[in-house]
Amino acid sequence: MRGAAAAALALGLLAAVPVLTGRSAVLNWLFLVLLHAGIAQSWNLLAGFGGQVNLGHAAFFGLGAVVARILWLDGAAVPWALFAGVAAAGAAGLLIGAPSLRLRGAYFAIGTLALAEILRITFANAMPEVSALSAAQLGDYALAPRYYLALLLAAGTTTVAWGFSASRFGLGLAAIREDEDVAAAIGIPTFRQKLLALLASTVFAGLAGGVFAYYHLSFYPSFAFSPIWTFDALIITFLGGVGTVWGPVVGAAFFILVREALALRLAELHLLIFGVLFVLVVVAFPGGLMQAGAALGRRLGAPARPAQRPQQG
Amino acid sequence: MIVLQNIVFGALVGGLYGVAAVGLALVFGVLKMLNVSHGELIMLGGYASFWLFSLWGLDPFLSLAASGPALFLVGAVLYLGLFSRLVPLHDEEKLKNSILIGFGLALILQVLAILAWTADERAITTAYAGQVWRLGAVVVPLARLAALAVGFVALGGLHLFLHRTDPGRAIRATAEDWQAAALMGISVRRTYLCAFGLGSALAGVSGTLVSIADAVSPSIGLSWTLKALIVVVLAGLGSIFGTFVAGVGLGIAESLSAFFLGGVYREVVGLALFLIVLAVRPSGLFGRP
Amino acid sequence: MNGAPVLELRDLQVAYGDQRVVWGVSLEVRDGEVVAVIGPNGAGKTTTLLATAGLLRPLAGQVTFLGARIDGLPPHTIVDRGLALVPEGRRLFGAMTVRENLLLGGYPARARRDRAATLAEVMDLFPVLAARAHQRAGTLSGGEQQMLAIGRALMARPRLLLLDEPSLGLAPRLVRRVFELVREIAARGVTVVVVEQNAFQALEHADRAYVLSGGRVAASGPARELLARDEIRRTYVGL
Repeated sequence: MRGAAAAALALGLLAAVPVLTGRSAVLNWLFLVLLHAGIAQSWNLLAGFGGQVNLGHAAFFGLGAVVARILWLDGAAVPWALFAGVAAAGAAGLLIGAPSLRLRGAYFAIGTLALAEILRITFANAMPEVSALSAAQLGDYALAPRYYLALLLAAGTTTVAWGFSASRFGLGLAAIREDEDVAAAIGIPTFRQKLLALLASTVFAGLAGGVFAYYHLSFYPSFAFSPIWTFDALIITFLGGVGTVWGPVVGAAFFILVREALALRLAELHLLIFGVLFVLVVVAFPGGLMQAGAALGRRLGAPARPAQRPQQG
Repeated sequence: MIVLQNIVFGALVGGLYGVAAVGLALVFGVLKMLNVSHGELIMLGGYASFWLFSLWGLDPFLSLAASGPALFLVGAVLYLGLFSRLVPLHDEEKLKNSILIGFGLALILQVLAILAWTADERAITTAYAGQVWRLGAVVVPLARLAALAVGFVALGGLHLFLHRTDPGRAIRATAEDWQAAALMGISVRRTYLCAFGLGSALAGVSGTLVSIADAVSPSIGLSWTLKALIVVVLAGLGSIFGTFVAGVGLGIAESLSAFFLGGVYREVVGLALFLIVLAVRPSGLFGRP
Repeated sequence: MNGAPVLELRDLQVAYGDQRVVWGVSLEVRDGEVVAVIGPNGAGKTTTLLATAGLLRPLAGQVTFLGARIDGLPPHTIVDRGLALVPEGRRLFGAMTVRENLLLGGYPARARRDRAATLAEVMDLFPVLAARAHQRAGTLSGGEQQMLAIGRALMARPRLLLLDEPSLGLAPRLVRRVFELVREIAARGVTVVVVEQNAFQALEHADRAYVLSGGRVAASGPARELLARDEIRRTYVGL
C-alpha cells in the first residue's frame, strides 16, 4: 500500500507541474521522459512479463503515429485520431502475433522485425514528404495537453504493468516466460495469454505513437518506424530492469537525462554508450539497474529486494 | 522481355540474399543462437572492400581474400567476448539472449561505422562497372553476374569443407547433437567458435559482393539481416544450396512484385512470404509447434 | 580377471540442478573385465555413466581412469584418453552417412592416426555397416543403429567402453547378438561396462556386476553369484 500511496503522490506532483511552472524546457523534458517511459513500458508488458522478444516495436509506434497524424491533420478530433492509431497498431499486432505466437523460438522476433522494417521502407516510398503542422495549428499549439497525454500514457502503461505483476494473468505470463512447456502443462492457455499481452503492448505502443504525432511540429512518416524506437524501448527497459513495474520509468528518466546531456556534444555518442550499456546489462546484469542497485545495497548491508528475474542456466 | 529483365535483376540480388542467409543459418544451426547483427557484419565487409579499393585501388574481387578472414576474426572476438557466455543457458533462454545481444550489437556497429566513416553512401566504381552482357533484349551486368558466381563458388567451398573435412564434419555433428559430438572427442566450444567465425566470414564475403553491386552505408545492416532471416525461414536449415535457391527466389519475387504492383510495395512481398510459411509449415527451424 | 584397475569411482555424487540422483557410488573395473550395472528405473545408472564420461559434472567424489583423475574434465578430453560411451538412445548423427558417423567416432587425435585401419576393423566386425556405408544413419533399422553406435565408439580405439542400455528397443534375437558382441569386443582387449535394464542378459554375459538402487550400490559381486541370489532374481531379473 505504501507503494500505491507513493505512486499516487508522484502522479499528483506530475499533474501539477504545468500549473506550477510555465517553463517549456521543464515541461518538454518531462514530456520526453513520460513518452519514453510509455514506449518502454509497453514493450515491457509483453517482453518483460511474458518473455516474448519483440524486435519491431517501432512498427506499432509508427502505425499509431502516422494514422493519428493523418486523421488529425485532416481535421478529425484528437481523441478519434488517437483511437484510430491505437486500433491500427493493435490490428497489426494481431496480424503478426496470431501466426507467430503459436510457435516457439524466434518466429515472433523475426516477424516483428520484418513488420517494422518493411513498414518503414514502404512508408518512406509511399509518403516521402515531411508532415508539418499548418500555420493555424502552430498558432493553437499548447504544450500542456501534450504533456497530460504523455502522463496518461505513462500512468496507463505502468498501471497495467502493476496489474500484470499482481494478478493471476501476470502469474501465467511469468510461468510462460520461465518455461512454456510447464506453463501449458499446468493448464495456462499460453497462446491466448501471449496474444492478450501482445495486444496490450501494441495498443499502448500505438498510443505512444499518437502522442508523439500530436506533439511534434514536423517529422518524416518513415521516421516514426525507425528501429531507433525499438532500440530505445529495449535499452530503457533493460537499464531499468526488465519485467519489473518501475524499471522502464526509472530507465526512461536516466535515459533522457543522459541523452539530452550528450546530445549537445555529439548526436551518435549517446547511442554508442547506451548500446554498450544494453549489451553489458543483457550479458552481466539481466535484472537491470534496479537490481544491480539492490545487489550493491545488499553488499553494503541494506535489506535485499527479491530478484524479479529467473535464474539463468 | 521486361519481365525477363526483372527476373534477371531479381536473381542477381537474390543470390546475395542466399549467401547472406547461409552465414546466418550456419551460426543458428550449430550454436542455436540467432545473430541479428549479421547484416552489420555484412556492412563491415562492404566497407573493408570499399576502403581497400579507394585507398589502394585493390579490386573488390581480390579484396574477398581480406574481407572474409577479417570478418572471421571479428566474429571470433564477438563470440569469445559475448555470445560464448550464453552457451550454458538452456535453449530458449539462449536463443532469446542471443537475439538481444545481436540487436544491441547491431546498434553499436552501426554507430561505430557512422563515427568512423560518416553516414554517407560509398560506392566502388571499377573500370568494368558498366559492362553488360546482352542476351537479346535482356541486359546482364557482368560485375553483378560475377559477384553471384563468386558467391556460389564460396558456398560450394563451404559445402566441401562441411562434408569432406574433419573440422567440417565436427561442425555438422555438433549442429545435430552437441552432446553426442562431445562424446566423439569434439571440443564443442572450439566448434562453436569455428562456426561463428565461418558464419561471420561469409557475412564478410557477402559484404564484398554487396559492395560490387551496390553502395554501402552504415545503415544497410538491418535490411540484410531481415532478407537473410526471411530466406532462412523459407528454406529451412537443410541444405546450403536450398538456401541459395530460396534467396534467388526471394529476389525474383521482390523484383516481380515491384514490377507488377509498383515499387512502393517491393518490400511487402518478403513479409507476405514469411506469414505464408508460418501458415503452411508452422514448425521447423526457428521454433517448434 | 585380476588385471590392473581401469576405472574407479569413489563416492560419486551427481545432481541435476538441485535434484540429487546419485548419492555415493563406488565401483571398480579391472582390465579385461565385462562389468554389468543393473537396477531399476531411476536408480542412477545412466547418470553415473554420464558423469563418468564428463557430460555431467559430479557434485562430489572421484573418477579415476587409468590411474589419473578425470572428474571435471570435458567429455572430449576424456574420450581422447581412451574412455568411450555409447549413450542411451544411441544418439547417432541421423542426417549423416554411416561412414561419416564412423569417421567421427575416430575423431580423437589418438585414434585419428590409424583411422583407416580401425575403420576396416570395425567394418569387418559389423559387415552390415560396410554394406550400408553411404546410407544415412537415420534410415537404418534399430539393430543396425545399435551396431553403428557401438562401432562408432570403437573407432575411438577405447581402452574402456561404456554401453548404456544397448538392448533398448531391440528384438530378443538382436539382444543376444549385442551381448555376444560385447564378449567379442572384450576378447579383443577392450574393457566393457554395460548398464542394462535387461538384467538377466547382462548378468549372463558379464564377469562381475553392481546392483544400483536409489543412487547407491545395493549389491555387487561375480555376475553368476548375483544371478543365483534369490532376492536379486526376484527384484531385478524378474524370474
